Amino acid sequence: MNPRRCILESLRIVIISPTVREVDTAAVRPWWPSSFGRPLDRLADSIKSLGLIRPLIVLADGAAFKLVCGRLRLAVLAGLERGTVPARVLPPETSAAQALEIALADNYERGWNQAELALLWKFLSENLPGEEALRLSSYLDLAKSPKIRAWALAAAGLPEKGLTALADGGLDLESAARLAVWEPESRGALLDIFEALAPSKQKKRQWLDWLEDIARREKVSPADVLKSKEIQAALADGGGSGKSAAEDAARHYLWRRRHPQLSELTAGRREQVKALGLPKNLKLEADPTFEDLKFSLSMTFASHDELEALGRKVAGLADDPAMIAMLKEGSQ
Amino acid sequence: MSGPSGDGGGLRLRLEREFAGTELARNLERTFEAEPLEPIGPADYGRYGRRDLLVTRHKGSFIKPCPATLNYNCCNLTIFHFGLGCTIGCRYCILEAYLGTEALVLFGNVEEGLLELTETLAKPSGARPKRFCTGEFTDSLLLDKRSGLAESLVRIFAEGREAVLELKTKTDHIDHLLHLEHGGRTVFSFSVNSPSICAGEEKGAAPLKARLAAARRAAEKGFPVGLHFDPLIIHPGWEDGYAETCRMIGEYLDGAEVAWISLGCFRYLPSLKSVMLARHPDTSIYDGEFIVGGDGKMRYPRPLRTRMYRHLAGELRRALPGSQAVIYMCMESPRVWLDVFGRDPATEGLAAMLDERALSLAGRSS
Repeated sequence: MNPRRCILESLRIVIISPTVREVDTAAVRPWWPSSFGRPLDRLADSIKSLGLIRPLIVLADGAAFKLVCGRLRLAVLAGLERGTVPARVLPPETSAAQALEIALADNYERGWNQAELALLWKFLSENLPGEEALRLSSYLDLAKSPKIRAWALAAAGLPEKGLTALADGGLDLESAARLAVWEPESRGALLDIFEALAPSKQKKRQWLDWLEDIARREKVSPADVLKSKEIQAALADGGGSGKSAAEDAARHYLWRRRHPQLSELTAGRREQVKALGLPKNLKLEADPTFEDLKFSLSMTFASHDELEALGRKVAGLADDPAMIAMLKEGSQ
Repeated sequence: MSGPSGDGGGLRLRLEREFAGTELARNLERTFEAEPLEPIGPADYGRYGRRDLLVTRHKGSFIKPCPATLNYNCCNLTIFHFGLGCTIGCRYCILEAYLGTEALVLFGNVEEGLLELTETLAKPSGARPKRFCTGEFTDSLLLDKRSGLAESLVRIFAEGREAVLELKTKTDHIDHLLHLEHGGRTVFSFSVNSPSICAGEEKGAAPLKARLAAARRAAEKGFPVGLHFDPLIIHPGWEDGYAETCRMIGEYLDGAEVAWISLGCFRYLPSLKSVMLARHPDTSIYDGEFIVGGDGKMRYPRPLRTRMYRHLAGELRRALPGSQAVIYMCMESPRVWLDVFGRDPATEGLAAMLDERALSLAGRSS
């Protein structure tokens, strides 16, 4: 389906609609979740200074009206205590699917944030027959992706804090969908941590991955893990050494708890490197996954003497028992 | 064999019209009532479920190289591709998720495949593979009592030269093939695991003892036997569990009867973990520690894999003393080869070792 072609078709219904008339503001009821997490300030300033340029679009519903287009405009007008608002009233024979299509077409160019997308898809799938909902999902660019539709449906179940993070781009749809099925205490605790420590999206996924794995393996809830003294200490330190360092410390604790054997291997290797007694300007690095037994040395120097000293140290490494042990790692 | 779904019972046969009357259709119709199916392609398989047995046309070659993986040594087995899917339902198996369908698919034009195979085997020795298998995208013998395909394959290889067929299975469905002349050129291979993994994660498969008893029956008829410890899974008591399986192998088989034993640690594409956990939320196989391997798949960290392989190799040597069976690792890195066996044969060397073993078995009397 080509949304642009459908937009034209939908707008045809609007064009043949009766002219604009004033309706009671109180009689207009929000119907579908068109907007989430959008600020009203600029629109409010515009309406205050220029008036309402585009009337609302509504569908008669008994003595009241279902709001089809203009949720933000209605919110501003209600705030300005306008008793009536100008609205185009759709013909009574307009079906719910047609009205929703008009609404989607009207907002298509504006686009949707991820929270709106999730809430919208949930609304469509709960209020329209399956085929019709799927057809209209093309306005959300979801028609060809059952996986993303499933994520959207799950993510729509998030509480407001989660939806706000989704709308702001602080959570991606997949992470939001995973978080939505957590029990409320764990979900709330993690959202609080995300708010406090502001990890990147990729790091948020690590939090989710490791917490889910630990909870499953240890048969505890993520909330229990988040109550551990290491996480709480990192949170408490968030104001001291900075959010980023605190987030790193908390996440590293999760990694160690998720990967006890890798942690042990890593600690062992760290001890081996320490035993080499390398100067600060000579760094030995190895593959942190242990998949390849390859090492790299990097050195920094600013004088001939420093270079000579580094050269001697490097030459001695081949006979250093700690280095030999590292090179033989796995082969004993 | 136990399990309601493991032997294909209760399946709905959906047969593309063009294959009505073929030998495969006639064999299947002895058990199943066929419903006609309009021609479909692989993209349509996802519309069908675990109760469906689809007989459709395969486009393209029936003979494929093993889908080897970057940076790891492959045994270079050649696959005779006769179908897709499996109803045994092992909880670590990524086949369902990987194939995008729970349906079983058999290729109705498999006769064309048998012809292609015969032509391939007729090529000069240096110009064709030495080892073939059928169990890469399905279980070799899951439906064989009903489809009758393996009999044709055993006969083709028995008549050929310098090539061996490997039938890989978690079933014990071999008895209908034991009377066949095979010339030592068909290997019955059994996927095995620790007793607790067999019982807990492979519930639709034949019990471990039944698989080993089937291996015994095959060996008594002169068929070489292969064993595949794949996937090796880290689980509580894994050392004792795998040692117990090795000990049982020693009870059922003599080392001379075993062609090869492969070892492969559990590995999976990252995207499949959530799919598999959604299907099997109580499985603990994803609780292990994994890193992203050189092929993009999740693997146990190398030192842990090395420990497992060394343990298994030691137990197998104890269980099958003096055996000439090739013990090898499936899709492992040169580094792990060095650490476990003290040498890295690379893909070419590994394939050559197995080819040599295969040819040494070929020609054994039935």
